[in-house]
Formats: sequence, C-alpha cells, structure tokens
Amino acid sequence: MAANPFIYFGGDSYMAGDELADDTLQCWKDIFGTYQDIPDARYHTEFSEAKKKEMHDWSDSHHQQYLCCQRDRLWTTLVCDKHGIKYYNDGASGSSQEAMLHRAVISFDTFEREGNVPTLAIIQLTNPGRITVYRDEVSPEERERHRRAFDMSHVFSVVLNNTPIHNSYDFVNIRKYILAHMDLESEKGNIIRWLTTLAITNSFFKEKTGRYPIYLESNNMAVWRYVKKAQNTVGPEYQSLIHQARLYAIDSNVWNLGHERHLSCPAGHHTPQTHANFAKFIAPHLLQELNRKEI
Amino acid sequence: MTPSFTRSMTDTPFIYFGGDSHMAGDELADDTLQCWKDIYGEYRNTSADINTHVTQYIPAKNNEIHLWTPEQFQEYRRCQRDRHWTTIVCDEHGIKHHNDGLSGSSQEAVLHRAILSFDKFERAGNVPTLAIIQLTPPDRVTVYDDRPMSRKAHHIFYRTQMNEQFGFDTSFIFNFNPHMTGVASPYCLAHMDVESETGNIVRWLTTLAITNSFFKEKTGRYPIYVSCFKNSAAVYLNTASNNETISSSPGYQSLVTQSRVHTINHDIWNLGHEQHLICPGQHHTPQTHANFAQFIAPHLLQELNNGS
Repeated sequence: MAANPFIYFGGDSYMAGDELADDTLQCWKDIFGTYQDIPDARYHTEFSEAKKKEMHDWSDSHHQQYLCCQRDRLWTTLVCDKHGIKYYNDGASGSSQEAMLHRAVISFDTFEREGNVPTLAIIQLTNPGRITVYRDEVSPEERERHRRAFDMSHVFSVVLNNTPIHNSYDFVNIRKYILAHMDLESEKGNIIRWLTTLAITNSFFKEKTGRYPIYLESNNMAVWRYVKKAQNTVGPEYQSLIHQARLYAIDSNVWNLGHERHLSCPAGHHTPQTHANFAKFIAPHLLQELNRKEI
Repeated sequence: MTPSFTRSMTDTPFIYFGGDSHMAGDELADDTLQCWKDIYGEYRNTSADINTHVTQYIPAKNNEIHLWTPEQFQEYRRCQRDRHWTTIVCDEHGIKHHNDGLSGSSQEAVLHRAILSFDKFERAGNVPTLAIIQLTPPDRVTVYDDRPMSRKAHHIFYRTQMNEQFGFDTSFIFNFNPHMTGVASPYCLAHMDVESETGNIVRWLTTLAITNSFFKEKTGRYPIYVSCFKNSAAVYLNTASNNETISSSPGYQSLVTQSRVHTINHDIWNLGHEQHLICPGQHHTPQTHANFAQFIAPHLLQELNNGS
C-alpha cells in the first residue's frame, strides 16, 4: 500500500450523502417515520416544503451538525475512518459526469499546490440525462455546504416529470434551456456526451493519480442500462467511445453501492444502513486496490 | 537555417492537429470558385461584411458547387489541404500528420474528435507523438448527435470539409446566432440565458485543463496550443478578469493554472503571426498559411526534437 494513501471521491447526491441525515428531522419522522421498500412521492412536495421550513432558522452550528451526520453515515467516511485512510469527498447533488470532472480539475489544482495529491480516485457514475452550465460566481454557502464549484447541473427528467426545481436560477429559463437542449440532443446523444466525458475522466485521473479511476455505480446495472439504450448506435466511432470510456473495466458486482441494498430513502437514495453494509463489504476490495500499483 | 531531423527526434514523428475552421482550411480553396471571383475578386485588408458574406456569397457558393461531381469536391478539398500550413510544413519535412479540424468546432468538440481518432490510432498501433491544438473561442457550445457526422456526408457542408471523418459533435456559435435558423437559434438563446460570457470562459478553461490531461496520457506530453489571432487567449481571459468576483476566486485561478494558458507562446504559435491580408469570411489567406509554414518549421522541428 502506498505510504500515504489518499482517496479522491467524486459523484452526485449519492456521493454527497443526500437524505442520510434526514431521519433526524422532525418533519421526516412526522411524514415518513420509517424507511420503506420504495421511494415516496411526497418527498418532492410535502416533505420538501416542511424540510425547508424546519431548517430555515437553523444556526450555522445546527447546519454543521446536520452535515456532520451525513458525512459520518456515508460509506466513504465509514471505510476510510476505520482504516485510517486520508480522503476527500467532492460529491455534489445533481452533478452530471461533466460537473464532477470540472470540480476535480479545481480540487486537484489545490492538492498539487499543497503537494499532497490523491493516489486513487473513485468516481460515481451518474445518469447521462444531465447537463451542466457554468456560473460566474459561487456563494461561500454553496461552496461550503454543497461543495459546488462553478457548475450547475440540470436533470432532464426533472422537466419531463414537472418536478419542482429548488435552486437560485430562474426555473423558467432553466426549463426553456433544458427543452431546447432536448430538441437538439436525443437520449442517445446524451449517452455519447456521457461516454465522451468518461473517456476524458480516465485521462485526467491517469495523469493526476498515475492510474485510471475506479467507477462506482449507485444502482444495479446502471451502466449497462444506459449503454443498452444506445445499442443501435452502430459504427466504429461509437465503439471507440465505449472502448475509451473503459466501461469494460467496471466491476458492477463489487463497485456498486446498491450491492446489498437495505430499503430506500423517500427520494430514492440509499439508507444509512445500506451505506454501513457497503462500507463493510467494500473495505477489503478498497484495501486491495490501494495495494495495487496500476490497473 | 531550418534545423533538420536529428537522431534524438522520435524515429517516426506523428503530429495530431485539432481545431476549428482555421485548422479545417476554410476559404483556402474559395478563390478557385467563379462566385468568389465575381463577388470578391481579391483578398483585402479587412474581411467582408458578415451580412454580405452570409446572405450573398454563401448561397452563391452552394449554388455553384451543389451539382459538383465527387471528383470536383475531392479536388476542392485537395486544394484546401495543399494550401494549409500543416500540410505544407509536414510534407516538406516528411512528418506524418493527421488533421482533425472541423469548421465551427468548440474546444469540447475538438476533444471529442480526438478521443475517437486516438482510439483508432491505438488500435492501429501508431499513436501521434505530439498534438497541436488550435484554440477556439469560448462562446461555442456542442451537442451530440445519434449518428457520426460522416453519415451526413451528403450534406454540402461536410462535402467541402478537408477532414472526411467526423465525430458526433455539432457545435453552435453564440455570436453567429442572428444567422441561425431552425432549432439552433432558440437553443443558443436559451443557453445564453443560463450561462453568461464569463460562464463560457469557465467552461472553456475546464475543457483546456482536461485537454491537457488527455494528450499528456495519449502522447506523453502536453499539447501545444496554436492561436489564430494575436493573443486570443488573453483576449478571452480579459473578459473574465473584468469580473472581479470571478477573477479573485481561487477556483477560477485553479482553472487558469490547470488550463496551462500561461505556457502558450503567442509570439510563435500564432497563425496570424505574419498575416497577409484576410479572406472575406475572416480566415487566413493561402499566403498567410504559406508564411506561417515557413516561420513555424524550425520551431516545430525543435519541439519534435525536444520530445517532452
């Protein structure tokens, strides 16, 4: 194992720990009470409003306590703390694969300036149906609490499902933009964009850490579900993208947060118990990876 | 004196070129067209009025070439290729090269096509030893099509492109928006509503940063960036530096560092270094390409000798 192993984690809400601390909220207890087998649609309506109201007057330390709880229940924290591994988690809710790479560029610049660069990157795969635009500024709150850089990702299905969006942007403009994008880029086009980003993600981490990243799935067979949608995209160019994305190197039986799933959070994220199970399951695999020099 | 190959130079140097219309050789063969002779007749100090170019010249050009035989298209593309600085310098010095330039490309599209091309190079066991990437303006955005553009080869735009192999990318240029038709115009406007000019630059710097990693992995060294006009990178960065919030942000400074824009030598790697008049559509003339080929040759050979 490298003398000073240091793991970089990137991902979306699954890596950011969304919902992991929600069961500490009174409104969660009142509305949901327990974890169930399937997500609960009330999350986006009744609960979302109630959560906002309950957290509205929180002090900074109260917010910190909530974030601390999320962090402590995340599998990355559980496994790294137990084995004394230094790590940095750059997960941010709603991220596209492009947004993860954007944040990694900024984070690795800081690591390089400090002379302490991660030796391994574990990157969570996100849904190809997401697109990122870049903003002029990021508030300190966003940077601290939500680990945002300049990226603001939008999820296509949010518009299709008419799910309310909660962020600082004008929803009308976002909706117009997403619909205009979907007019020009089909679902297969999304997958081509996603594969392109994975190919570059490989090069980025290969350069920075000396090895390709390990990709983590948040749900069973997610990658192959996406690729299947584009399977009629014939031609050597598409095969080149699949090849350069290194999808063949992904071990869904191991690097899969949903490997031993325990119920579901109301918005579909994994429960604290699933994170605890995965931390225990993945520990020997992670230690083995840290002992390997290159894949 | 132009240095020749030395023993230290890679045995089989192979250069990959990527970029937009400047790398694709746009307008380099247009002076062979009758409509060009009729409308413009000669190269001038300034480009043509954009409205005249788009509303008069482009339709006349399409009208003149739309019934061409495949051989005529081939001849046009050959003329573009032969007049391009990359061909002139590489042919003169026996350097293998691949030019992936495509008109209108964003920096993201340049990288997308490089991924496809390098996969092919790797499969063939012959990977470029150096990449020279042209900087494109940040105000371009790319969407991806279901089919590679080569499947649209019947389209007149693609038939006049020197590069005959394309990726899945279609790029849109924000400042060209008034001339856009169909769904592209609403898309550009909607994009501009959610991403400012500074946001475009953040996107562009992010892409340059990952472009560096891509070529470092594939060729063993960072790419050389070539500008088309004097200090174009500085012009783009200037827009962002006027925004005090962003220019003082450590995250933005990280992007500037990782994009390695500070390593770009605009006094050398600048196609407009010794500009000779200008084409009506703002591209460089065949003479400028010839001048640049002569000027850049020793620098290029030196880079190939350095090897890292």
